[in-house]
Amino acid sequence: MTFEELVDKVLHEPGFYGQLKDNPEKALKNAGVTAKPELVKALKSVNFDSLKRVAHASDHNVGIC
Amino acid sequence: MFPLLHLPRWIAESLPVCVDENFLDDVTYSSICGYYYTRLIDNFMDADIDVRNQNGGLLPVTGILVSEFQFIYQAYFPPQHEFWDRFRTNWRQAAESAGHDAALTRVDEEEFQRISSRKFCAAAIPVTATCYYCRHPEVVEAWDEVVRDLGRWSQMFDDLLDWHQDKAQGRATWFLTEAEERRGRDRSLAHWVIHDGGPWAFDLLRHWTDDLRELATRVGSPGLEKFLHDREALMAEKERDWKRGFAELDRLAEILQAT
Repeated sequence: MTFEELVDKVLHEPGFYGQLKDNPEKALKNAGVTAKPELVKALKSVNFDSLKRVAHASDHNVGIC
Repeated sequence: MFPLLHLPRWIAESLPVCVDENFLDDVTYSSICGYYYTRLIDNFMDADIDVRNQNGGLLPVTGILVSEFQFIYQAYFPPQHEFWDRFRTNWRQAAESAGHDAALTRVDEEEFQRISSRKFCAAAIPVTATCYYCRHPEVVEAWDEVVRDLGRWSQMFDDLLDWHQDKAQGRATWFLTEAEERRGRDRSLAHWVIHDGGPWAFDLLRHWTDDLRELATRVGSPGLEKFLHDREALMAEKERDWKRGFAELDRLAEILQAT
């Protein structure tokens, strides 16, 4: 997966980082990657809420007040 | 948020006049109609609404919205009043800017200042109306400047946060044009946006906020000053989210690359 593809997924596919957070083994398996214990451990250290916030900020519209 | 509905009250409160609540209510109603008109047109232009399906039924509503928007002012200003010259100028300029902006394939700084950020200039209509209604036409120019500076700020903030959608939908913005021109051959656009583009745009927005603060002092508007203060806090929050979020994305990229 290229950096651009990863950015696409993070900003437009909430299910992607949601699954990486909740069930990294399954998410990796779905992506065709062997879920080695060290990889699963590394994924568990990622702050997925930060990714969620930046994805929400990207869904912006100029409103009025 | 563009403070379209707040501007008339801020003007009235900055002048030595009694605030006429009926006038402000009427202007608010007019501005809401004008806003929905602009949003519908914008959605049609972005093809967010398909005129052939049932949403296309909204198209005729635009005529009602625009007449409601204008009708209010006819009750306050006779046909020969100089307000109408400014009305026509601002309304025409807003339409020209929106049309021209949609046709651009790249946007440089000059075009951003002259076209993209001028899409908000219809907001100068309730502003001008309030200045004339309060019998202080001498403050029109200064408040026009406020509208212009708020417009460029709002446009850049939108272009920054929406960069990914704009790119996906092929919309040209100054931010994306800078990204294409500055990223270099061996670097992806996303990488430039995340590591250099974001900080550049947030710095620019801070600089423009300083300009606006000076203007707020000049027009003597505590309402505008408070709005700018609150918006700075919002911008700081977005910048924090941007830095933290994309730092985590970098980590995630490293982890996944390690596989």
